[in-house]
Amino acid sequence: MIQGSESYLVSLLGPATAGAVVSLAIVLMIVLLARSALGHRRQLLTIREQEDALTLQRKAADIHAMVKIVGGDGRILYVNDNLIQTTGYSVEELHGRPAGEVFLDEDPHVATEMWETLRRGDVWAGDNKLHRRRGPAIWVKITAVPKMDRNGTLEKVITIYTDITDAKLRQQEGPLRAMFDRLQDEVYIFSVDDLRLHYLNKRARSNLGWDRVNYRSHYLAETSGGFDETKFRERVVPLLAGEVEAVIYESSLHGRPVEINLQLDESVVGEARFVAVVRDISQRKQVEQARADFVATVTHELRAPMTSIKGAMKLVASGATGPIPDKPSQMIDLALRNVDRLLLLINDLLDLEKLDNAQTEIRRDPVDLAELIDDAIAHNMGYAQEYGVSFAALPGIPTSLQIVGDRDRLMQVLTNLMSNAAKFSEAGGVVEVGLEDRGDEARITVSDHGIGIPEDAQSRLFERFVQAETTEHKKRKGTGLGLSIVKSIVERHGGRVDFFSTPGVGTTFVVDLPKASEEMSRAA
Amino acid sequence: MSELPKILHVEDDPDIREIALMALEVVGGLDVDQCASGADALERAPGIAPGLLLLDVMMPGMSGDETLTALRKMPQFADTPAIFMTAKAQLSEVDRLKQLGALDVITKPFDPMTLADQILKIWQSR
Repeated sequence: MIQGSESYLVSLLGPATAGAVVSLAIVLMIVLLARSALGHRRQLLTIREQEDALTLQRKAADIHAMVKIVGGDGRILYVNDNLIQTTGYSVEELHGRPAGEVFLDEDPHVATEMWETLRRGDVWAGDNKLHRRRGPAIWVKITAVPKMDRNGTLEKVITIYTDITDAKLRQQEGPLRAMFDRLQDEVYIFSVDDLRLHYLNKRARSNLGWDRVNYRSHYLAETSGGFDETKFRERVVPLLAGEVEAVIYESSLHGRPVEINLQLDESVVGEARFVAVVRDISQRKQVEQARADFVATVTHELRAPMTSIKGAMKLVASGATGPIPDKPSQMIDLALRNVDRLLLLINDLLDLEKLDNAQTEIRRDPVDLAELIDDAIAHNMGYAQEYGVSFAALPGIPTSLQIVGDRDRLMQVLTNLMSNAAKFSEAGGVVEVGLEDRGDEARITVSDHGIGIPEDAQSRLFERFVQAETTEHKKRKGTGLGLSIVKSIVERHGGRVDFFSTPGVGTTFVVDLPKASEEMSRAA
Repeated sequence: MSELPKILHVEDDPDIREIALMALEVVGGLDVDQCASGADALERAPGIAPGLLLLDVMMPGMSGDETLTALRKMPQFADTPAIFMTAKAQLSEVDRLKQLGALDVITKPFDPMTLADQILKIWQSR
């Protein structure tokens, strides 16, 4: 071709000029060839650099994020180590499976939109939950980059996931946590499975001295020296079973008495977590102690002189100090009756004070109610004689019926109800005591055939110092505290007390007691 | 009542001491010696040589339980039966006192006409 060109140039330009042009063309070709060779070398270098850069980028992406490659059909071709570690699946389990089936919450609209975008050759980005083989899902930011083949068909998709669970939690729980940080109570949020800490409010961090500690890598047991996980797991059984909304108990933390309110919560990724609100009750305990001390002091200070007054009068009345004329003897009997009344009032007031105080012990022992009724009948026989009535157990009652409770307190319930019934019965009347097994509960009834309770007094009967105002009732005055005490004791046992009364016909008091209430049996 | 040994009654309230003395000696016919404090009891007990201790619980200085603990350290009173008298009728208090080795606890106010009988019953149920 060059030869042909030269002939053409010679014919066109003449031999000398044509020679010069050819020489120039050769020089130009050499220059062009040289430049071409040089350019090729430069291009080779750039590719290598690009490869290095890609390797680095891939390495960085591998460390920072989870990476997955799927084919155009959505089946998994490749997953990086980070994704394997985070999700807990093995490579074998994942290879060839549709990615949506394994990892993601497939909202059909989102999935359709994503695949449409990718098939157009465009990048798709969004947030979704990434499921793991075990444990709760995590929130991820997703960037899916399509690779198209020469025909413009989707060949592969490279997907990069970034864990944004923390950010999601901050975004969704942020306002709540800001509120927690302003609380005087300590707040702990931790996993149900392994008790790993998710959140401590400011007060908890400060009390633990953990202001600069990344608590998320710590566990609940590390927050308290004497933490007993077995006991904790026992406590939360009813909470996890959905039987109760909260478990509240007293314990000790940082050397102080605390009340712990434990509830279940679900995080934004659906993980069940415990939320514990811990309240310092040192002050409340001090007040309760002061109250208990006061009751003890009053008990002693009131009872000591009463011992002397009653003792002295009884000795005089008995003639142990020498004979006394009739009139002074009557006056001493009158004084003694009122001393007894005063003592009864002191005892009732102190009983109520003790029952009102949550700290007052209520025993949780096995108590046979059938046996208790027999004992109560024998114990109160003197009272029955005083009013000319008799006590009798209803025929056919169970010979044994066991519950968990405080025997002495339950005896007090029976005594108060039976003495009331005796007091308001006509002479010669019978007060009947019944017992019935009602499955989970035991029912005690105390019935009299006396004057009954006027309707206008019935609604306030369990209030303190409330007594029926009829002349008949005034004649049989008590302290007006007996039924309040009955109610308090029964309620402290997790039971109920009620009554049915018809004026002129009689009254029946009904006490229902759980055989073993949850609270009682747990502590028993 | 003769089966009861000599009783040492420790009580800080002079009025209650007098009532108790009447109740035990005059009504019950018992042999009783009295002390007004725990310290007094520790000093005089070896001379009195009681076979039964009747101790008030709440006393200034040395309480009834402290007095019993101190008496127990004397060989001659290491096993002497003891009964407490208290105005604090809480169950926990009664349990605590029984755990100290007391036969029983009598709550105040006691009935002077039946106090000696009450003590005899406790003595017999040992």
